[in-house]
Amino acid sequence: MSTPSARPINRQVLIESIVIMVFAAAMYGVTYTFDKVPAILAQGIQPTAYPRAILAIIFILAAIQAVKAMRLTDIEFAELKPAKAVPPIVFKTIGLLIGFAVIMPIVGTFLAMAIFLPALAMLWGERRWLMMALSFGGFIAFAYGLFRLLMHVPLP
Amino acid sequence: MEPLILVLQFLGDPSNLLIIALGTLVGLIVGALPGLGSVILIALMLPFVVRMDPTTGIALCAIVYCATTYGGSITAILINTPGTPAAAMTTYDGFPLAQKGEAGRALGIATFSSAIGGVLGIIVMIFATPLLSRLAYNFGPAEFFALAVFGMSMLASISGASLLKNFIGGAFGILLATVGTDITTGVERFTFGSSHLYEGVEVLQIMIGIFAGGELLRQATQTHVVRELVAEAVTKLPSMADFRSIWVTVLRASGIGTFIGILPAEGGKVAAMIAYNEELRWSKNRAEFGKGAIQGIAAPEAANNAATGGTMVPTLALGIPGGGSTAIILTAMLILGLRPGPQLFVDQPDLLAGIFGAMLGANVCFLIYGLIGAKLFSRITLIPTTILWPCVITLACLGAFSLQQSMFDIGVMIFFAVLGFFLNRHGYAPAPIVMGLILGGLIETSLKQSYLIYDGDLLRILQQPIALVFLVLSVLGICGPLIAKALGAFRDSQAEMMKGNDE
Repeated sequence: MSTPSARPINRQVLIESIVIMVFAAAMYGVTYTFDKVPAILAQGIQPTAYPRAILAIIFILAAIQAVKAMRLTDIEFAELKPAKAVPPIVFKTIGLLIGFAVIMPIVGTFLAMAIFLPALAMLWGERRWLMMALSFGGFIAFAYGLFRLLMHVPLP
Repeated sequence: MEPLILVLQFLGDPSNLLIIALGTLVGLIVGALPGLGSVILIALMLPFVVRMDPTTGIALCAIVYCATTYGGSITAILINTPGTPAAAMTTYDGFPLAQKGEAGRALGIATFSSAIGGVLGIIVMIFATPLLSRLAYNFGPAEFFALAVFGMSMLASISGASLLKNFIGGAFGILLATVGTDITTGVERFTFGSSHLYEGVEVLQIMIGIFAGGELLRQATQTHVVRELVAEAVTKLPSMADFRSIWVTVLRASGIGTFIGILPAEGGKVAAMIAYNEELRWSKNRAEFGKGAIQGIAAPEAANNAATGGTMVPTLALGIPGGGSTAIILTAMLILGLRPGPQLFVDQPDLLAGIFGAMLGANVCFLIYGLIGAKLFSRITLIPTTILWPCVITLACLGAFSLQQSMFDIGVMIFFAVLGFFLNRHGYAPAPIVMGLILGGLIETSLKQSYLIYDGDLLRILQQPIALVFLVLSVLGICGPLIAKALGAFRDSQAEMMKGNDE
């Protein structure tokens, strides 16, 4: 005797929805830290009312999404594509980007650019040194002309 | 007649013509680069635009918007990769025709249809914008609230796989708009004690981060993609026979594109999709579609370029962005102290003439560039992403910094780049978030004002005829896709049942 199989679930969307619901609930909690103002100053609507309404909407939408993710039809389940992991190169790129923002005020904008531009290109697999030198050298000169000389931006 | 005279005066100034020529060139180059498009280009230009004279700055944004929309078709035809999302439908027939050795003909059809569609869209814009803005004279807080809700309801049909995800993204954007000091009470909301957030999160840094930064991280996953030109072609003007077989298509698609563009939150991509499907429905030679039908190139190209004029109508007349690019143009206008609406037509007729003239000039200009330089623009596609994107993201960082000379702004940009990438990866498109961010303030302000006017009885908003119309349209906008889906499922189940009975 076969047991009835469990209804297929879209786990990824379910987890996403739960994360959104937790975020909305946490932000709702944060609204309790807002200052309260006298009714006359608030003109009938406290500063918490609108964000709370939006957070409630987000929570409800995420809940509907979660319910939908747990009630997939067989056709919807068959059409699901397995989620691919985020390639490590994305995290390395994010790391380089953060590194650029960190070193910019320390070593100066243009030296930071001279380090960041070839580093990112090499991370992405570029090995044509002459092309990199000419392109990035030209770009740094262009950025210097544009931001320093033309727009007078006091870059770090 | 006065607006037309002002437009001609704008076009008669040699310095404006130079801006049109240069702006169109930049727009075409960027449009031809897959991954970059009008949204990213205008976002990157914003730090410079806000330092310019308002007319020149906004006109420049409008020029590159037109030019990038057309530029996307070149790569769609020659390398089967749309330069911009709006050109995605052009690949269906443009690339097959290029593979048949008729790349020049395909480019000619695309260039001609784009220019005609673009000019028709702008003509509608010139006449429709003042009319719509006159309607806005009757708008009070209730009407603006309903209009903004209507704008958000259109998220049901824009980019992204899921209606629910679009709405969650839109609501998240509205939530972001609440960060900072509440203007009515002076209470800090979601600032977490940071003085950088007292005035709210900068829309500009979010846009640069979410669009340019998010795309950089997406490009990081595509470094292995090799692009090859299927043909090196010189654009050929459509022959009389081609012209005869596409002119009805171009007119129909231009009408569709303009109308779709006028709807808040829609844009060139949706316009091109609908125009292509409509063409397929009306065409006598459906079998040719997908194999290089010239109508299959003309329809999406005329529609997405006509939509550029259409999307500017609600943006300028009501302050409701017609799409992603116009959302950024609207942000630039607000930073420059220009408030869209009826008063803009009274106070700034030169600015509007500048925008209309610049877009008209850009369409003529890209027609010329397209005819003589398609071969060159197609080669630009081959610039390696390993060289291009490091430069783009550095420019984005410097642009984000330059506005307030604050490293915090670069941090915000990077944060939203990472967030945008992961949200997009999970089907939460950036456009709804930006729409929410822009309309969030308007919704809150008009709701509070309505609350005061109607003594706390918000249901009285429904007693205002214009507001009621917008709210009914909003309900239809939200429920429309759901009803269509339910009807489709019902029809399928009926068909299954009939099949079962037959067996």
